[in-house]
Amino acid sequence: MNDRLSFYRKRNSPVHALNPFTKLILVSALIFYGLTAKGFWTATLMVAFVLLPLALASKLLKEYVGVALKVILPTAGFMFVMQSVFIPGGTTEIFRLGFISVELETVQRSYLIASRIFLFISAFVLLLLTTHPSELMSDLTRRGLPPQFAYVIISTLQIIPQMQAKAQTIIAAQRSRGLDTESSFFKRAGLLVPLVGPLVFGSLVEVEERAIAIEARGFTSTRTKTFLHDIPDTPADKFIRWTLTLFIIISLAARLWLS
Amino acid sequence: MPNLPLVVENLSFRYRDRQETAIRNISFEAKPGDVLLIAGASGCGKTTLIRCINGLIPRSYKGEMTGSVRVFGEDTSTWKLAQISQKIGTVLQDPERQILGTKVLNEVAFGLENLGLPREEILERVDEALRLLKIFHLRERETFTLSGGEKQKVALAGVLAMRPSILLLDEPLASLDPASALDALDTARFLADQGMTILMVEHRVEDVLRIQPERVMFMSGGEIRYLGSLSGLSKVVNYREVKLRAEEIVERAKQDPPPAEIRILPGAAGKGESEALVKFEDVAFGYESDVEVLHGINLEIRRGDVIAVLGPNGAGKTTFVKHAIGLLKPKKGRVLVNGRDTREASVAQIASTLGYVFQSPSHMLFAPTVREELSFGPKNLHHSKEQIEQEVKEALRIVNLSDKEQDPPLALSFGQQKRVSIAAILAMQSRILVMDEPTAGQDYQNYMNFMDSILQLPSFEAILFITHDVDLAVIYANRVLIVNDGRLIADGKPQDVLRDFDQLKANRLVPTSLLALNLERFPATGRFMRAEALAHI
Repeated sequence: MNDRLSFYRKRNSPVHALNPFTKLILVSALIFYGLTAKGFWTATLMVAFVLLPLALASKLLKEYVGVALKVILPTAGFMFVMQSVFIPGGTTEIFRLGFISVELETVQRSYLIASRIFLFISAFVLLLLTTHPSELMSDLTRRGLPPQFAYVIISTLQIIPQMQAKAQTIIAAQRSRGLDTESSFFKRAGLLVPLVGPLVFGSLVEVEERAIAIEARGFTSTRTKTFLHDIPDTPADKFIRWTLTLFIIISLAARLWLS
Repeated sequence: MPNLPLVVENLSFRYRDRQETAIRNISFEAKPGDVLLIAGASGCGKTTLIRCINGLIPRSYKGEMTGSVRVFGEDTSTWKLAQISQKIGTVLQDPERQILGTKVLNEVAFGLENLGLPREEILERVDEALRLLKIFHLRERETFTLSGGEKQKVALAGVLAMRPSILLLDEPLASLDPASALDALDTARFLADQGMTILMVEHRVEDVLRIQPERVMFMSGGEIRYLGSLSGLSKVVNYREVKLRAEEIVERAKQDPPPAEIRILPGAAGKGESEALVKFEDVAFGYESDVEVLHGINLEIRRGDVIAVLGPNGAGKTTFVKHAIGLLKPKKGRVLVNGRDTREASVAQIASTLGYVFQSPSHMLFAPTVREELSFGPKNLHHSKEQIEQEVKEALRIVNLSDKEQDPPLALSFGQQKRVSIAAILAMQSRILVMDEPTAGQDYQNYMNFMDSILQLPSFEAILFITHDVDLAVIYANRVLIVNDGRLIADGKPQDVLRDFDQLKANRLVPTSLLALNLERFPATGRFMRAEALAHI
């Protein structure tokens, strides 16, 4: 089996040992600060000095860098280039290519957006790498999140790797029917239907059947649910959460007061 | 009358978007400790009946329902699903779709957590269910790493942990190897002996007969055609519709004219054995660099071969055959198709000589109509328009779906979808045909018919199929491979490979009545044949 159904990688690390909710708060704090801070380099510095050390502490540096380079960097990079080139509005022209002019201000703004997106996605990736989806679900439900919501969140988190695994099988099945996926890009674009069709239809059927299956096992029962596992929530966890919350409030207050 | 676990009275149902009723006037009752086998062809209404009993009809599937379902004397029409689920447990045909937890322990505990039982009781019940099914060692495993057979057992454990009084099993044996199927049946018998009521929908009637079900229901066209003891079944049903024990078929077939002789692979005849069509040279493979799942496979597929690949769940059979079409490339050694290394050809190129039918039809089907679905492959191979027209018609005839040409494939039943996926490959007119479990989830009459037709097609020079059905190997194969643990354990004529019962047992295969009868008559017949043919020798 080479395909996994979640990003989670088991390690014995202090980050893994944290309560899932603490990690969620941590990610939210990072994202909140990265998105609202005015500094041009803030998001970049946070990736370098918060996320990378956290990944190292989780013993998942290789996996984290792998996802960052293969998935997040291309996404953010693509947005950076498109925005720099096609969004007008700057005054200091750096260079001009035919009718396209690239201005310093646009490049700067694009970098800011791209670096924030990078921070945003990679913070979540780190959460998923270090937290087992079912633990996150149980912990959130225990804290009062309706199980239906928790189920939706978890399904969304799991759907990407699931879709990936399924897409591979579908591509294999259609190649066996002579579909030439190894040909040029334009030819491939036209052949999307046989690949996307089974993926979408299959997922729709699956979602429906799953909904039925969970209902048949009493998911909507109105009784108070039991939780099989205790998910550790240490004083350290509480301390971290309060510190982060306080940090967010103070930084927000400081900004309002300074402006 | 005391309150029986289940009483169904005059039950009829029509799905909202269909014209005709799916089931009509179904009445029966089941006592504690009963195993009731429900048999019948695809689309006879078995699954609809199951859904009516477990409450999914009319709660999740809408339509017009009349009659009643009473559980311990109470009409369930006003019950909530959660309430029904405590009395009636259901295991679906495809366990993949029933498993929700990421870990086995969580999966089995899911229903109990929802019921709000104390934690100690949950753990106790989970362990009890796992031990009962002999899968306690899987307790801490991640569910996605399990094989199909293991998943089925885990899904059953999740249902058993809720201690239902009635258990509904929808084709529980479809994806199991013969030994696992026997285990599952023994478990069902055991549970019934403890007082549970078990309704089992299954095509593999002969297998279920081993555990002596108290009663058998045979459905056709949405109605009950037979309901009664086991012994009466063989007198009522046609032996071509339901797979009976070989001796019974022989007895009944004596009165009928002998079946037409089947000329296997007429396209290969007279061309001699010549060169190998597909050649495996010391092939080794692993999905991850450090774990090898196939070891040193050497094999030649020659013209005229009809090969059955047998072996337990998770033995590497699919991994092995995927090498033949180049979907997987060997880590060591090489695979040659028509003398060409699969590393140097694209899958699309190989597809013109070798057609591959995947196990799950949902991975293949996408087109708005069956007709378009079938022309997809030939179009990719640049066949002419007239040729495609012909190929599609012929393929539909073989799988008995000519009347469904304009239907959307995804709206068909599972068995029909499976046949569409086979037809989609047949239409490509390749020289070699490879099928991964072609008969799983199919009813007997249908799969016997299309196997007969496929084997007589003039276009094929060799056929290879993976199966858990030993009788399929007995009837159709002229060569049998046993694969286990990524190795080729045996390769030879059916009468040589299948004679060794110890070897069969070691590879989780179970001798059938047809195999035993064929071995007994072999000195006279000189080859294996179907029971109908044995009747006239």
